[in-house]
Amino acid sequence: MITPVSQMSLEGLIELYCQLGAQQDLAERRGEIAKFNRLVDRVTEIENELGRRPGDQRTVLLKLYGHAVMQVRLNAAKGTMKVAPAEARKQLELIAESKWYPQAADAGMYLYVIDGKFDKPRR
Amino acid sequence: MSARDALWRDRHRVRWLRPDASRWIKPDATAFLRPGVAVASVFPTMEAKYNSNQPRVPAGSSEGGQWTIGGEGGDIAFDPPGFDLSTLLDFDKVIEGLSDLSSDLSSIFDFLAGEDSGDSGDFTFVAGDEPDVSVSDNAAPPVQLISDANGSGNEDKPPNIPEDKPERRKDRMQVVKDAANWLARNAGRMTIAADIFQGAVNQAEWLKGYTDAIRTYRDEPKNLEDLQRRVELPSDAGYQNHHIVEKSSARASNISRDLIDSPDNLARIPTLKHYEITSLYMRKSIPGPDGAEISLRQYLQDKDFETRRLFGLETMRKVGVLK
Repeated sequence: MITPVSQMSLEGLIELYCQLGAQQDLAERRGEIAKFNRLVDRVTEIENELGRRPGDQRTVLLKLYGHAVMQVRLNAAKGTMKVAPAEARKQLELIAESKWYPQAADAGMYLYVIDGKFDKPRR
Repeated sequence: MSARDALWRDRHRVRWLRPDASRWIKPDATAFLRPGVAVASVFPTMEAKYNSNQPRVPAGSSEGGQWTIGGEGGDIAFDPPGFDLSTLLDFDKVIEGLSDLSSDLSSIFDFLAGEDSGDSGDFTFVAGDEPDVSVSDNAAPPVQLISDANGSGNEDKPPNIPEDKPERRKDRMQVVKDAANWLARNAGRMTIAADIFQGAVNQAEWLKGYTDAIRTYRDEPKNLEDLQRRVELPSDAGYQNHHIVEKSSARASNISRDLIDSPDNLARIPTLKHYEITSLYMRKSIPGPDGAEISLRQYLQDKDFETRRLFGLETMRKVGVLK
């Protein structure tokens, strides 16, 4: 049985967040895009739950900038865009320049979209 | 280390090393040794040079008088005595990593349902859904850890190359992609390890059909004219023709076929980069209008041809095929 995120401790949420990122990494490498996308929704669910907690707990994701799995770093950078935009942008730039694919390309396109002459992000 | 571990390690050491691995040792290889390590203990051939005591093939044969490494009888097969890669790479750690990987793989992959449709189209995508990994299983997937170069303190371990061809397409895809990515990350900075790993890739019979794709993944970015000029050439192993504006989604949006099929919309790029771009279009990875992430394909579905082309060129830059 999976515990709803609203009932999970902060530590539990962070651990789950990292596990989901690692599973995304594997899914992408195996070409399981549908699974990857479902995992994105679960990652977003945790970010939303952190945002609902007192003081907007998404700031705890900042410590994941140094995580050993690049997908977790990427998720954390995107997940902190609202609460620490300067740090998040710096992290996305680092990932984009890292040549660690596919996350480098993801980070690059994310920045391209939010900086572009196209639709602006509203997250 | 138990005797069983040692046997396992030795088996993999043989598996990972070509018998003639010394041929891939670069002249600057000693720069990678730990301080204090005797060069001869790791690279006996580099220190050998002239040695008056080195045995020669006895007179009386066609090779009489030539230097030999083996004993009497002129065994000219090179079997480097004391070639100890562990001094160079901490091979035990690499092997331990592979062992962990294997066990993780088996536990993680057990939940996967469904089989492949065959050998064709490895670089296509799994359209059908499979059961999600239950997070409560608490099993850590075999992840690629970020290496020292990125400041994490982890090793960028070479991925496992199974001796036998994995039955499922997704497993083959993972091996091929991991190998290509690892070589791309390490070919420049870990020359010896990369050369040896390349040797292991070349040794795996089942990977023969993928070596061109693995090789071309390391191509340097080129300008658009070069990539488009190649489209006119005969097909080339390791490359595929790529539509800069995605063909199927553009057709679904009623964009003119003349534009979609125009030579100006085509570029020949490395196969695995083609895969990466397609994956990038399909994965939820950019911010959507309501805050949730959406795929690039979703983002572009109501955009005109020119906007799609701008994005198409940008994705080519982001994956490193276009200057």
